[in-house]
Amino acid sequence: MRRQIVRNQPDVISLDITENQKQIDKQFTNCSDLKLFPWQYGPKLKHKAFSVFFHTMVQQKELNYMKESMQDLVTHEVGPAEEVNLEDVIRFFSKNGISSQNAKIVKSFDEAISNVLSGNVVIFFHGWDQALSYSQAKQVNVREVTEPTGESVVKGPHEGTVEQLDRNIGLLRTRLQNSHFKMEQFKAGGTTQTDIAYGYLDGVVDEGTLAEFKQRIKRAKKGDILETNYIEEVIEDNNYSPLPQHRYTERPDTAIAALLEGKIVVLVQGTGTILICPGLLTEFFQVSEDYYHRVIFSSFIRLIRIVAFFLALTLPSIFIALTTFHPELIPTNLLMAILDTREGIPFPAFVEIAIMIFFFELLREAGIRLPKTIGSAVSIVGALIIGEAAINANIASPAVVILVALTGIASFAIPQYSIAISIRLMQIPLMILSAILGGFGIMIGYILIMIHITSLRSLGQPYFSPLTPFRPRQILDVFIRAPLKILQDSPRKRDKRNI
Amino acid sequence: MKRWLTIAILLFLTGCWSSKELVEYGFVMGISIDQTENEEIEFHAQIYSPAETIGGTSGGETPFYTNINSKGKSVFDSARNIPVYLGRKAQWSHMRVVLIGEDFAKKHNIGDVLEFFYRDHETRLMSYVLITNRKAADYWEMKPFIERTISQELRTILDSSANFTGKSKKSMLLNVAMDLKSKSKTTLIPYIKKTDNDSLAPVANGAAVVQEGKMVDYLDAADFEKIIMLKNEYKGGIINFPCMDKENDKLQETIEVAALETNLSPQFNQESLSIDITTKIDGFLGELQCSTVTTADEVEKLEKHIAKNIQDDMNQVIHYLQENELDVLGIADKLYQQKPQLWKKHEAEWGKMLAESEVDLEVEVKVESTGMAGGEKVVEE
Repeated sequence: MRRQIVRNQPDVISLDITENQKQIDKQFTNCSDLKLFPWQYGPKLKHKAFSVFFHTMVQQKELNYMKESMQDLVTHEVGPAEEVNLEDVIRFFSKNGISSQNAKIVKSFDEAISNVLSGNVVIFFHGWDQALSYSQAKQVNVREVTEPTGESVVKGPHEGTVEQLDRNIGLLRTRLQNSHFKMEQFKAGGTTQTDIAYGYLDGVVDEGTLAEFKQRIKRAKKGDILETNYIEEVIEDNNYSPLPQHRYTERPDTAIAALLEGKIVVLVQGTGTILICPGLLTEFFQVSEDYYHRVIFSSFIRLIRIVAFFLALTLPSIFIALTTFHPELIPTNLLMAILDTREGIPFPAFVEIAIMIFFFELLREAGIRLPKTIGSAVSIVGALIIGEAAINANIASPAVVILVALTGIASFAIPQYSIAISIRLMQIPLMILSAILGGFGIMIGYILIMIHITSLRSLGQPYFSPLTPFRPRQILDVFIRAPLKILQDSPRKRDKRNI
Repeated sequence: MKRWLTIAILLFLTGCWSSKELVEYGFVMGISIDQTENEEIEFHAQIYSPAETIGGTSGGETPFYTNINSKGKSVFDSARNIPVYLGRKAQWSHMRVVLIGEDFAKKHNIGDVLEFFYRDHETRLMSYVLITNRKAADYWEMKPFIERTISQELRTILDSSANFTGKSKKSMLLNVAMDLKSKSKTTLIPYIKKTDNDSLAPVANGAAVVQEGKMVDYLDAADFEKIIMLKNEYKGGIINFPCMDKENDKLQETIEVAALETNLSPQFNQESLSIDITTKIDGFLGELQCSTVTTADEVEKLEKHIAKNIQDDMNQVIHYLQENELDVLGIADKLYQQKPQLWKKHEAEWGKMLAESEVDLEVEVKVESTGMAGGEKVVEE
């Protein structure tokens, strides 16, 4: 439903308050939560005004802002309340008089409408072609800052982003107190009119990348935007690649680390997910916590993640290739053990593994959607009943169950969920190749994957860097995590930063 | 379009369509070759028979193997006949052992029957070749003690005795072929026998000497051990020697060999051949029955005593080999490599030349330590 709201009235605020009232009624027909609240003020209450707002978006107890403003007005400017007239009001507000409740002056009708829509209280005065907009009363219930469930850490900050753009930007600002940290904001989306902000560290970010990004983000103005992924799809290079070309995080510290590396972060009102672009393949193996632990431990974990990556990608296909094409490569004792378990299984190895992987994905998907209380029941059913029963019913051999479970666990060991699922997608074509061609098929699969990875770009940056093109200095943060002394003193970075 | 075509060609024009599930194969664990009365080849194969495991419990007392036998003119013929009996295609790559009956080995060229295993693409040259006392097929009747099949057990017997006792060696199909193809045309193949006639336990005991494809002689375990030392293939084991003092010469003491290095350098002259051999042995004392080694002098004395013992034994073996003109040590190859012209000249009467050669053998023993106890008997009388 992408329907542009059609406006046929001129985009001005009428001097006649009843005209404005009509316009608003017309614009918000059938919006039952809109409150239009007319009132009078001044000598003998003869001056008319009305305020308009969505009562679902404002805090009722805060609605006294006008009275407070008026009271300020009275004491500062004009004397007793009965004597306030329109001229006083206009003079006071257009010269930015200070009151306890700050108001913004709205000059066009469209702007007034959009202020109402974003939860402000807008006040129209009879005889004034401008309106006042109060944002203080805005109150939509928001989640507190909590630990992000997808990226919990043992050590390090436990703060996660929330669904409000302003608070998220605030979380970032407190961690990066530097005037070079730029945050540009605009409204995008055809119907949703979502607030979008993108930030970068001036002097560190690559100018070309930033220009490219600004060019592409313009495309976001058309479609509706509900989540950060909507932005990603608009700006990414290859929509059909299984590989994610941008990173996501809900952790402010991760976003700051990315900014310091010259990335651009995109925040969207209404979601806590921060988009980090451009994304490189090797970055998907990094976690902010790596830098909070000791070097040796972090490097060890990095290596484990990389092993996990290859396990998740190729373990099933290696098993298929070995058992159906190259039984001579299996050590004899292991082969005998596998033979014992495979005997009596009616399916070829490929089908057997495909069935088990299907079971696994099914259980995983079911576990995500179900409420937490039932979710544990699913895992019990899955692990105990289906796993055990599949073996007893001779549908799968224990070796295959172990293998599929190991593959699943390995894919969960990769910190970024987006790449974990993409690996699970890629393992299936690899399995098919290895079922057709054996080890040779795996080789072809790897070559195709490598061709794809090396030709992929993210915002114009080569996706496989720093491996290809080779950047020796940055390699120190790929397979291992070098000490911060080395990583931060990199002269290239220092020169680039210029801060 | 071009890209997809390339991918399709990569995938489908490769000719690797040999996919077979594990359950379609019968994995050959070992074969045996004997001769029948009417000069045919009696071929036995031991196939691994998986015990179907359901829910982790294996099914009862059924053995892990099936034995199949067939008779034919050639090994390949018999091998190709396996599916007729088994219903599954034979898979050769995990063959553990090849057993050859003694009678067969004495009358036929081993190389001829093994030809199939060298030529076929599925077999591997890692299988061990063994020559059996009496009929090879009888060994398939034995029940393994620890391993799942007797084939596997025979292989581990060879492995362990080569690594820890030094009384046997791992003779793979590859080694046999290389030795028989070399200039000396002689190889040693481990010999197994049953411990006694009724026993069902095989034991690796000595070696069969195979010359020009046929078994010509048998060497017992002690001689075999010395030859392994001379060939510098000794992995580890213990050496017995009698007590130093004459009164107790019935008692034996032992030294455990930690490292053994033999340097064999033949000197080729126009008409004669002399061979210099030096063997260096490092070891720990394993058992002391009568000697006392508490001073450096005593150690040196003991070392000399051990060296002399080994030297005597080795000389005996070398004499025996010379008498029977057996070039087990592969001296012919050294000559061929170093002086091919000379080799051509002597090729015809090589055996005689070997028999007349002068051998200069020197053994050095170094006792590194006396083990966990001192240089005396632990319990005094």
